[in-house]
Amino acid sequence: MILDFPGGARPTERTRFGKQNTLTVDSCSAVCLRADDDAEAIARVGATVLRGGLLGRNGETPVYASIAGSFRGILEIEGNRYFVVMNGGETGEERIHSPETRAITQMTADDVIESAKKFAIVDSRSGVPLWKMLESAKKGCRRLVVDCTESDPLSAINYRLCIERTRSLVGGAKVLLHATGALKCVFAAEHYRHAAFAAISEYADDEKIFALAQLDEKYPYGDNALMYALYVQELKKGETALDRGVFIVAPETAIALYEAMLYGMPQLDRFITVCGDGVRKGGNMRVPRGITLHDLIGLCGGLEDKHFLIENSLLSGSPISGALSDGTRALVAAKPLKRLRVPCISCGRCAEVCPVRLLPSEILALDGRDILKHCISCGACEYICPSGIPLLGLIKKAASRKEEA
Amino acid sequence: MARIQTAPYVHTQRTSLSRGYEWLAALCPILVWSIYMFGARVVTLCLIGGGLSLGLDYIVQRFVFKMKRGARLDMMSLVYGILAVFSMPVAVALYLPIISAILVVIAKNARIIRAHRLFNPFVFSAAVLGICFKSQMTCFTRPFAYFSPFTVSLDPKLVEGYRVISPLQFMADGSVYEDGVMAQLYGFASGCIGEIAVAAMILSLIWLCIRREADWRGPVAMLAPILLLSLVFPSSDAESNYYAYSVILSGAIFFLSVFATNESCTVPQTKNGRYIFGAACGIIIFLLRKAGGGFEWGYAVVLVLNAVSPFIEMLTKPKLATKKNGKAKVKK
Repeated sequence: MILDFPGGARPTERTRFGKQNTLTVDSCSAVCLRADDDAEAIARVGATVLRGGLLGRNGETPVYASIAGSFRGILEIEGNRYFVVMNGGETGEERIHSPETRAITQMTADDVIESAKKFAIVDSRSGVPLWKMLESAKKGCRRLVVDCTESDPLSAINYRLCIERTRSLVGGAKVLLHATGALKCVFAAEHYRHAAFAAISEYADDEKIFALAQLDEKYPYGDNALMYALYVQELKKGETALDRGVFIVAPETAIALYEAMLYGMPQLDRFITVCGDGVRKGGNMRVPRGITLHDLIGLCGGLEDKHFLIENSLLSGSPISGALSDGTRALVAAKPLKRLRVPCISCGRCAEVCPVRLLPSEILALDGRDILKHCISCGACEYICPSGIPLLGLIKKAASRKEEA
Repeated sequence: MARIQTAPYVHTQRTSLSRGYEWLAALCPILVWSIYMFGARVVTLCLIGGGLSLGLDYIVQRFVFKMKRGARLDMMSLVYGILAVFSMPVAVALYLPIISAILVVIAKNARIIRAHRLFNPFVFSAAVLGICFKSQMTCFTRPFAYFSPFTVSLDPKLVEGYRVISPLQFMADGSVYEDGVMAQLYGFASGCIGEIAVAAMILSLIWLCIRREADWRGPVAMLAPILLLSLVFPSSDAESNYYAYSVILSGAIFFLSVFATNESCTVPQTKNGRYIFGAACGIIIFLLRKAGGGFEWGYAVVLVLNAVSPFIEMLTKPKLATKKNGKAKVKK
């Protein structure tokens, strides 16, 4: 059965990279790892660090060098703070932690949380450190959902991970089931990803614990959409899936946790798809965490003229610059749209695609209170509007005007 | 560096302007059938009505609303112009489509709240012409009586020679059309140019539904109450089911159910609103026919409901997902 959720847009384009293996990129000129306000450097500025070497801490979360090179300290670039490592031809790897030798049944939830913390595992759906999410899950969790849907129809990285790293994926899911106390794990992906379902069902063969969910091909798949599609539950604004006892992670997170515990190496790489018409040589890639976009785009043969990079989704993503962030699963090259702009024809399509069942065209009238209060900025209404009305832009403008007032 | 805009960075290829082509394609079966039934004069009427609507609307968009290049030529005005012609008999004078085009453009650009038009353009045009030129608008000629496509006003004696009573006029007299329901379904009955081609209209509706330009629920919501009420309260001596089928196949009922309930700017945006709109049209038309005796109520009822559709929309606003009671938990 194909599971559906209310609203959502169905972009007509599909990825070109579904059959392309993930390429590993291990060389780049620099990495910029995000430093929080409470970040502190431990490595000496100017010191040579090896891949896997400790650079410092973001609060309690350690930060490791994802490439070997010279540590330049915590620098402010374009308004953001980063741990910066420059590569001048250095190579080598440092293994600070030893692999986990205990069986999963011998570990407690706190042990898994500690592992997630020391290996600096981050959830690529949200960009939040996994240990913090697991701490929150302590209050009660009944279901684990591995969200294998793509952030954008042009992306294929989650699909490739499901096929290429199935063992790690299912192993990671088992660890997370143990850590969260969830009773069942659901792997959710778009219904046409048959190879992914086949691969997962081969490893996750215990039907009492694992389930596969085939989802309709609609975007964006946020927590709201997943919760409705899987459990027919609707989240209030500000409410999370965890508040309803559902722990949602990306497949990359489960894989990273499993492999980190198995090999004793922190999460030093990220998996992404670089796609879109503006990229000359896109594809699925394993890149060092914090790789600069300059390096990454250089590896992809550069960007076409007038194009810029969008993080995660063309529907609801935002332009990205600087370095790859921890919450990025896809980079899509886009160019400014030339939209037709004619008066609203009241076709009601914006209402049909709204996942929270608003009437987005009401923003054109005076009565837009509900919209400002409940819109989740998914962009589906603006995508579908045949009159080219920038509905999401108008909603955001109205919201900012309201805030100023 | 290119100018950065906000999300979304992708847009559907189906625009308001491309919508006009879908509707034009939908009108083709009706047009072809009408030409077969009534001859080349149908082409002249459609060219005048549709072409003039398109041209006048272009002038309005360019000089009044100052629309950008590329957004001025709206094929929907051509569609409305042709639909307005479809609700005329073939024997009307050639100046009637000119007047209808002007009325179509006026109604198309008269908006009240947000996107809502006050009146459906082609229904407005047909209703006004029905009042002002009643004799011409109710002068139906028998099928296959082909008139000259270039004569501005046909000779009244010639027209009178071919004049017949339409199925709707039969019903107004308390009887039913004698040539059978199938003749009405296939479009062999006399009547307005486009209103007789019921089978072709079904094809048009299927096309529009496939292309997601129309919703079958609106027509069903309008036709179902009329059918049911006609079955329960027949107004003639004929069998009740025969009478009921004749009611929905005669006059403008089917035409309005397909094209008026799917004209997005004059019906509620919400699905439930569209059900209510369609059902209200059907019930009121039936009641007025029953109580008022006259049978030409379809256009008037649609216009009244067009005016109240913003209110129907407000009443049928979907319940917000985020406002629902959220105490449910995932089952063990």
